[in-house]
Amino acid sequence: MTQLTRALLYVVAVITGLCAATESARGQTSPPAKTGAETFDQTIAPILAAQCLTCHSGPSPKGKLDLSQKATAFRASKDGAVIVAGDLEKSLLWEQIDSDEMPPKHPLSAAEKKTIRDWIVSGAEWGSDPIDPFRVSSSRRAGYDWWSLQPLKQPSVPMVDDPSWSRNEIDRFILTAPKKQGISPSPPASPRTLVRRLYIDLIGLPPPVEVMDHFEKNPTTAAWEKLVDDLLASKEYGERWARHWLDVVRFGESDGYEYNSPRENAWHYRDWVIRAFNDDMPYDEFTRMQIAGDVIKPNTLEGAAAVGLLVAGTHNKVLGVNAAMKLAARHDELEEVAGTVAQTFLGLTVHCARCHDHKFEPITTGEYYSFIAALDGVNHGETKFRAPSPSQDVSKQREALISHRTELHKQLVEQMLAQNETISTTANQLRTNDPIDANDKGKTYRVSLKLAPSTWASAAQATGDQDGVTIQIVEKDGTVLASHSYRAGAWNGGKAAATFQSQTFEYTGDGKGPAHIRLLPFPLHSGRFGGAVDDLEIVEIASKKTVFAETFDELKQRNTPGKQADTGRRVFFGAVSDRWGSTGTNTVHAVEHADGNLALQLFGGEPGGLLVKAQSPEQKKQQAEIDALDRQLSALNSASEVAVYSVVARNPGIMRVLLRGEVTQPAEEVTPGGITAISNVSPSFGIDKAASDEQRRKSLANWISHRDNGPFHRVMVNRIWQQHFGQGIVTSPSDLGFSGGRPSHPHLLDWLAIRFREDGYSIKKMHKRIVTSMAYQQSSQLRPQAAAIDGGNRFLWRQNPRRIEGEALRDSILDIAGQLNRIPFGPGYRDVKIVEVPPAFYYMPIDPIGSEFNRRTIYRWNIRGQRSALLDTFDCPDPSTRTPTRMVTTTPSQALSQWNDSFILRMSEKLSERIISELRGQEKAPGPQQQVIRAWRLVLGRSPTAEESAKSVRFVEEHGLPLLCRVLFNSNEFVLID
Amino acid sequence: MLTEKSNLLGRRDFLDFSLVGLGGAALLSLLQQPTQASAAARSPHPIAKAKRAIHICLVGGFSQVDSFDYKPELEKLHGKALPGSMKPQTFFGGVGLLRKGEWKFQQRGKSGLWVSDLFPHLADVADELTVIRSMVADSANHMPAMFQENSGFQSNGFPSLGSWLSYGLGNVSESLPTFVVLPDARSLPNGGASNWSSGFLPATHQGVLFASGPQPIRNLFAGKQLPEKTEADAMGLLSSINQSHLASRGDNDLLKARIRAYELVAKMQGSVPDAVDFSKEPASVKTAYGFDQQVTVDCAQRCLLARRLLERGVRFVQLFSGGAFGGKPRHGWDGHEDNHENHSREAAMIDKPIAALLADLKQRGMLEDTLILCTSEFGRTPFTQSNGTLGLGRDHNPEGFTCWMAGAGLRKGVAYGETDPVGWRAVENPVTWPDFHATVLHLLGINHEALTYYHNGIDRRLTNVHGHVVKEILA
Repeated sequence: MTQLTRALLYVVAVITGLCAATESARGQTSPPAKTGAETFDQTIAPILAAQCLTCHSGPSPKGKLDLSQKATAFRASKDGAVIVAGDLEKSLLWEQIDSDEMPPKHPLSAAEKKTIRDWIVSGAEWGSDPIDPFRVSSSRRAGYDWWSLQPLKQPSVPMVDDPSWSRNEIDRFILTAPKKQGISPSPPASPRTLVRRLYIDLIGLPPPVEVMDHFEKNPTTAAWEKLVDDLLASKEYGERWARHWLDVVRFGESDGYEYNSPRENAWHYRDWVIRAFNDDMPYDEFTRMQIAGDVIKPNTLEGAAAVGLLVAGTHNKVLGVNAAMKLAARHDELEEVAGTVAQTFLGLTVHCARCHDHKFEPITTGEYYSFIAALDGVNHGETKFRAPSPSQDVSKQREALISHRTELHKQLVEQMLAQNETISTTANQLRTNDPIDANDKGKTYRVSLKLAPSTWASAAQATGDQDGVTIQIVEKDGTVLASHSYRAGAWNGGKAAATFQSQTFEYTGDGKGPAHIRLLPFPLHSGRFGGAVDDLEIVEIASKKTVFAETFDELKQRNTPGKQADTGRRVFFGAVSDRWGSTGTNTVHAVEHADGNLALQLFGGEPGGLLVKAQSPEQKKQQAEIDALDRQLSALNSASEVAVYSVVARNPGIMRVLLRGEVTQPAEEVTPGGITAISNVSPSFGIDKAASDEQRRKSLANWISHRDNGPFHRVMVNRIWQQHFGQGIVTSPSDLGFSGGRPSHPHLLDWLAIRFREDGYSIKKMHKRIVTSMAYQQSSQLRPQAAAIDGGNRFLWRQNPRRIEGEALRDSILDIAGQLNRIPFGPGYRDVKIVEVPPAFYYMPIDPIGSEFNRRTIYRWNIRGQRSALLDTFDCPDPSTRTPTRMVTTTPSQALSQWNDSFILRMSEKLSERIISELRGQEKAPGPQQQVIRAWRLVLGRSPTAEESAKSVRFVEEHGLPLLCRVLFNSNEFVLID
Repeated sequence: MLTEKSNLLGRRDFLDFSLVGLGGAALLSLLQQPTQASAAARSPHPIAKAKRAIHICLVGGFSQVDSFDYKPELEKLHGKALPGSMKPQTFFGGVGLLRKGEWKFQQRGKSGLWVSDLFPHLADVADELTVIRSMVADSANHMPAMFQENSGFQSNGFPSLGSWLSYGLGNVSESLPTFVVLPDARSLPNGGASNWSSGFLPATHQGVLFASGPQPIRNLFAGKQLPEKTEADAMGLLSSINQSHLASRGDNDLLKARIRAYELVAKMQGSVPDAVDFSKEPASVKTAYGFDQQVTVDCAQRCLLARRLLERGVRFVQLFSGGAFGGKPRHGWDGHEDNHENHSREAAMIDKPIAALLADLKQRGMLEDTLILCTSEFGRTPFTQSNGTLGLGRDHNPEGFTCWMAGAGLRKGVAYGETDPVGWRAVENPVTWPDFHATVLHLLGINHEALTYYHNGIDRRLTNVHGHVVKEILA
């Protein structure tokens, strides 16, 4: 039925000459004669592509018949010729099709048969060779010429104008259509209606009745613009519009699946979105941050919070022991993430090409795997950060502790090493086998080295802030001529793994003969890795002569490589080198930080194994002091840590196409990339198959948000439009493809998209442009005559009346009852009780009482599988599914909830208390008349009519004010936004 | 394009709940319009044999070789290794020796259907059963498998079978929900409401949980109930406010639908408590279901309630046997540790009530147009969950397992499909969940390829792009 309705729309659009499709059909009165090749491309090729080529093409086509190329299609088989131009009888193709032998199970329709028949009879001229099923759009599918994939095209603003009605360019676009059909647009809505509409639209809260009164007296353009500006500048604006966005990106705060584990720290993403809207973050940046924020702003809370989009969906932690099952689950997750990214930002259903080329859009399976390859570094998890702004005191305290500890430790190590050069230790230490000629008396040498944080095992072994490497120049007798220690910086989940720091120091030779170079981790016996060392060089400064150079790339592999915990890069355990001698039970590891590039990895040694044979009481005391400092430091760190549910990146590895989506059937390798069908933006990221996660996601973010990416712009302006009018210019906002709707106003859509780009992607400017148009300010009153022509109001001859959303309903009630707690941000309030049946979690809805629960609904802890009855029956979606468009349903359950829910009953009491107490401040004994008027004004934003007032007064006298409040909260007028 | 319609005010969709069956009827007539994307034009709609259904979910995976899939060869091979070179990929990894069915199998009734002593009461109604012994699932993992059992897809977010039926058939009663869920008293299944979610279908199609106590459904009554006259006066005032509001707005179906919804509040407050009130049921009926025994009383009450709900116009009742996967002892059929102990306990709770339900429905003539489904997300392995030894527990087995159906439109007393000689993998006529769902929809008069809903770029179906009706089990 979707197609049916679509077809109707299409017909209407064609009649009005508005649809983009008509442009291609322009000049239908005198169509240029089509060549045979064109006919083939437009009519025959689509049928063959859709019905035959799945089996009859490729390297091993069924029945050895390849219909995708002219040469093979016309080749004779043992049974005769497949196609004989002009001769149906001799064409095997026709025989098979006509008898419904082929395609098996789903024979061609009569119309399709006729098309094929006519083509053979008229000479079977071939067109593009081989057939490219994506070349042109057909009645079956979209091709490369599909409207939404094209670059933005600047339309001319229609000449149609009605100065008495239109306010800006939007209105001139909107005027065109209804006028052509003999429908006139609607007059403006009343000032009170307008103010309420604007408030609910922009901030999701009702206007104070005084604001309505004021605007009613002074409904000027300037006053309107002032209202708009004030609302857009309010913090409530972001709280309203972030909610729409969170629907689109299925933001949930529990895992789903069997355990449905809670996510305690996912709210950072929600706060980030609210802030982004309030700060009017340019939409292209907003986009890039959500795809690669942790790469663009590495090691920041902001970056980690922004990519919450990627991990806002479901995540299965129960996978069994079977490797194929695990891989399949990983691919399910990638499909979910890639599907969200592509639909959210491009309105493209890329995920439908996982098992076969997309049935309706020009997207191949290969492109699907390229696209998910770009996201294959994404893993669910928690990242920890120092609190965003630790107090100055804490920072200073930490620095002091670290520096004190480092100094103590250095002293201790040097002392011990001086005592015994061949210390028995589990720490990896290296010493050059041969002495180096770098100790001429009076000559100055510069030592430079590069080091990076490095680990191969668990997070517990990862390099921390205090871990480093000591490099020493040691003379034959053990005298340490020079010693310097450097810290590599924290591992940070592998994000800093390949970030090398350059360090240098200088020393002057004393002429006691060639010296050795010694490398050792510090602190010793930390149980962590001290850092990876690469490119070590000693230069005699005066002569500029390099006396020693080492890249560690010659470290030889002895065992099969392992994998770095976070980056997934190879690590060779027990690497050996002719040049270096090593001690320590863990010996030397070589880590590959880039292809073929090895660095030396130094393990600090097992904790507790410190130089046991050589400990004087003095040393023990020093060690105890160091241990105490470590404890203080770790306490300080964990106290100021913030955990964020975010992307914990992994090394993606090389992606392969999976035949029919089966993990057991890997095929060719793919390079991370975009979708060819998007015109004017190259799908190539210019990176290789083994590129890092950082490269991949950064490239993807840039490709999606490219200035020339048409659908990227159209999708967002359509989403904004949708929330102002109740429906988008395209009614399927996350699907601008063949299966989605067609734009009712294609030129307006492109005009808005271009303005959006020119305005520096300002969402607030787009709001203002829309709400200052007359189209927006029209009355929503039904006019039967117009409705008879365009009942669906696709051409906007009126504003659409809308039912308030569940969140706005709850927030409004809280606000009106004087109970709204406006404290923003932070962990959400919880209206569920957690019941744990280890290892799974259940969530029972409750109605908790207290100010901390009276926050705006966007701050509700959004777990999967449970909502309060009130939110549920008002169509708040479960975050298990992406919801670009909400349902609007009316059910008896909705009435039950709105009428009986304990929250409504409580708020009715509170509103009654508010009214009584406010009136008491004004007069001595407020009568029911005053109470009634105040209740109506607060809830419905207007005074009651005489009749309404009389009925209400009688009611209050008999049943009390709280019950009147409950009735008003249940009224249709309250839930309808005119 | 239903979403498009749903988003607009002033369309008739808002009224679907209040116009008896119209939502469904209108939908089906629309579905019969030829469309390009679906095969509807070429696949005529089946005639509905069933008007309503009960779906009994045995949570955790019940063992086919201990119940309906008789394997003499397995008895011979008891204590031996699985023959052949196939190495099973099990959920927990351990592959032990083969273990024979623990309960004696007998041919039952006139039909001679094999049923073991695990279900002695069901065995008495064997002639009513249609057993599928060749079910296969795509996952050996509880939750994905259970989601697939209920919605055809392995992840959260897809509409369940009951929701699709609600959407496809509409409701019969305007004062009772269309789709009711009756969970095991011990606990809810994992995932909770996700199992009966309406996914992307409108919320009105989701399963409604019936609880015991004075408030069978959420918010049926206010916490503090008003005197009858006060309640009536309040509703009267609301109605008059709404009527004058409507008059000033012109034709608006949303507003009309809401007025109607409030009119139904009082009606529901009568019909819901009436449905759950067993006081007028004869003692003999209650005893037959098992009200008098501690072990059966929970299931007995739910089975009787299911019948009463169906009588009053509910379309689909889903009844769970088993809840959370964790816990000790387990709430459900997940016999990892000691399958005999586990299945003995679970079967004792449901055998008598379900058999009584079948008998009761038959006696009332309701079995002729009611469909009963009894399924499990997967079965259990014929070998034990142990490493090369003969253990007591059985692991998950999606390769071949059993479910049964009964009632409208089915061949009775037959078994369809075969597993291999040890009852591990389906080897003859395997039936997938999409096949099963297609068959259920068929029996309810719906062509599974035509029941679609546009969501985010796809005309979604319960059966995705799969599914064949299992014609061989149809009467």
